[in-house]
Amino acid sequence: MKMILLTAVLACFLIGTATAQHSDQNPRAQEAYEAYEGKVDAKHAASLGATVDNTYQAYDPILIKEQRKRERIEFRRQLRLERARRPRIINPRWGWRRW
Amino acid sequence: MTRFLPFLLFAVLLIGTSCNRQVQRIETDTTVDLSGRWNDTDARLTAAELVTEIMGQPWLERHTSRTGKRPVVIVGMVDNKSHEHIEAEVFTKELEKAFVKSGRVRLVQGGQKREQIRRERADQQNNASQSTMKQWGLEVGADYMLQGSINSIMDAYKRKKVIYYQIDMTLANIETNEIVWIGDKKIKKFVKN
Repeated sequence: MKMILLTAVLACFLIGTATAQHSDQNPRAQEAYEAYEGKVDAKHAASLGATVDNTYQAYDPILIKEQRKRERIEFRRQLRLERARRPRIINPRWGWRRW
Repeated sequence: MTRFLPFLLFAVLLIGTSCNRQVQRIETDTTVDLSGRWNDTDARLTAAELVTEIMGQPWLERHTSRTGKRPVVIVGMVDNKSHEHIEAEVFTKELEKAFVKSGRVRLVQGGQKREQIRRERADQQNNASQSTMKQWGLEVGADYMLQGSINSIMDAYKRKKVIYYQIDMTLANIETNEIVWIGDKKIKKFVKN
């Protein structure tokens, strides 16, 4: 009988120490944990050790000039293609839109 | 046939000279600045500075004297808020290497690689022998998380520009959110086109 009592007391002590809160822990810590429990998903794993790009476009006059040049070349290329495809419409023999 | 021979020779010569690309191996610590953008030299300088700072600061001694154990670190996210794509792994890997080499800091795997390890452990539960399969729930919990941010400022006028990069890394206590270490590296460049 003594052995059973001793075992029960010891078990209670062990359970008590295992579930005991830190002296300064917030009593609502369990609620806080439950609020975050569902948020540990694949996105969290992917964010660890990763670089997340939130880059911005800086004002660089040279780059802007180059971009304008590229756009101009591309526009002329598209215009040539359209002229070859539809000569009557895009390049009429009369009228004011004669490039 | 002899009439076409000079043309043929000329064509061969033209093809031969048009493919004159030269490639040479250079030392990895050689500084080569081509465009003025972020490059390997910047990453190397950042890594060197951050490794020196993180290993020389008192957070390490404080943790060891308080707990009697080596700190466990996990690498978190690096937020790139600059105007260029800058891969932070180049210098975070150097920090990880310094941790492992020194033997004073323990490092745990994070991210996709950790997921892969867990998948392998799950696979072992079905396929490995009982004596060799690894158990669940025995991972080492990290004490600190290494996080960072990259910022840049660019000022350009006509053909000149000044680019300023600032890389900040912090080490935060996972339990208390306390930041125990902050390190940074500042790089300023003047580019004239």
